[in-house]
Amino acid sequence: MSGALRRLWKDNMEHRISFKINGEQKTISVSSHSTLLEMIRDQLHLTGSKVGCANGECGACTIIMDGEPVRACLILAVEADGRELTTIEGVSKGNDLTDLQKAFVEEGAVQCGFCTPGFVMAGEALLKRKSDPSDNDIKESLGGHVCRCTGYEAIFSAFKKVSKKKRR
Amino acid sequence: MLKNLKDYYRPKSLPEALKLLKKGKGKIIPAGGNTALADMENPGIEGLVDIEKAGMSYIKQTGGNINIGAAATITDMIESALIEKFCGGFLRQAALSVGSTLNRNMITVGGNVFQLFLWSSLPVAFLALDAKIKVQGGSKPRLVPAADFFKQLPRKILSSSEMVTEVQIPLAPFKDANAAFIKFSKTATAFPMVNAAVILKLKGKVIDKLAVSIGALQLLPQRFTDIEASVIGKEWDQKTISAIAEEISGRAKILPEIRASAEYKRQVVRATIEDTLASLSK
Repeated sequence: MSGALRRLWKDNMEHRISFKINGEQKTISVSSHSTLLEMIRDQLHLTGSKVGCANGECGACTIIMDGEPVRACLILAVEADGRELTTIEGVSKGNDLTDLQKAFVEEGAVQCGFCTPGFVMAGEALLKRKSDPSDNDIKESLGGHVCRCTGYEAIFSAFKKVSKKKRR
Repeated sequence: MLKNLKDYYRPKSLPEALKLLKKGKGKIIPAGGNTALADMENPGIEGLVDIEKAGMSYIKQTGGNINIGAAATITDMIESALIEKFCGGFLRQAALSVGSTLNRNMITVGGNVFQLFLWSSLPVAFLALDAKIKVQGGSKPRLVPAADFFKQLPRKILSSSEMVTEVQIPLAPFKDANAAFIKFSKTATAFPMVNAAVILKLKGKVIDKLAVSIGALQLLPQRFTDIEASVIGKEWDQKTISAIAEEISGRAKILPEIRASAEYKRQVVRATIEDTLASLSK
């Protein structure tokens, strides 16, 4: 086997992978066909990322992988090898909410709360890239997330509140 | 998904990736963004070759072409200054029409071209641009013109050891052209009901070049080069615009679907082409 070729394979279709999640280094075994969402929820017991559609349409499973918001339901767990992941559990420091999380609360952008982790992850990723996002930037980052409760207006207001705050 | 998946490879170069595909004899396939895997239940797939680090994540100008590597993501296209400058941002519009930010961060150009779903946007744009699709892994690399590549399902054109490695877009034919990519859908991130790529070049008040390709009507994108050729040299006026829109929409093959009848879509195609041509010439 070539030294440059990393083949992660064992007889029982399990792969040993190493990654950082919420600042913590982990090494675990995952099966070949597990999704990242299954790994995060079932193996790491981080259940903040939700199973909405399991088909890449609703955004409830959104996490940040190497700085980019992605749908964990569409990524194989093995792809996490060597990556840096952030889930909703890793966004705030203890009980100190981020500005965006506080804005969600203040603007009434949380009703049932099922979609909220996904929206927050998309927002946190956006604010890391652009501290002062335009309305269009916000709308682009909200696209691909479904909310059945709020009608989106309050969510948009929460994002705007944070970007206004950063503008000052 | 992919219950029989055993192996996941991360080659560091294209030759390594191609070696794996050849070894796999159809049981090992390339994996880019993997967004298509969610619905894939093919028990015959036993291995995936992750092409992310195999040296195909580039977007660059080489000679008279823009070359886009198969592993470049849709987000890479959107953020590329080269893509933004080309043809008034036409390709950037096509890239922005794909899904949402979440999907665009993962979907690769090669995947969007090879998987060729009914809703795929980039094939429609590449067809209008007379792009060439580079395929490697066979006895020798080949450059397949988009018109031939999208004549049937790409998986029927490629052998099991081959993969799409690059898309080449010629620059010269589109110098000074105006272009637009339109996605007609119920919401910004919904699958399109109609995709249209429209490229127009006028010489004074006369048509110098026209390319119109349409998608999301049937599995394969469509273009009518005979109609395009017939209007070269014609005077550019509303009568011509309407005639082009009428003829293309009349000839388009449209499959009915649950969201809209074929007749509704035909009207949308006609209106989209007409409105876009009119706005491009302003």
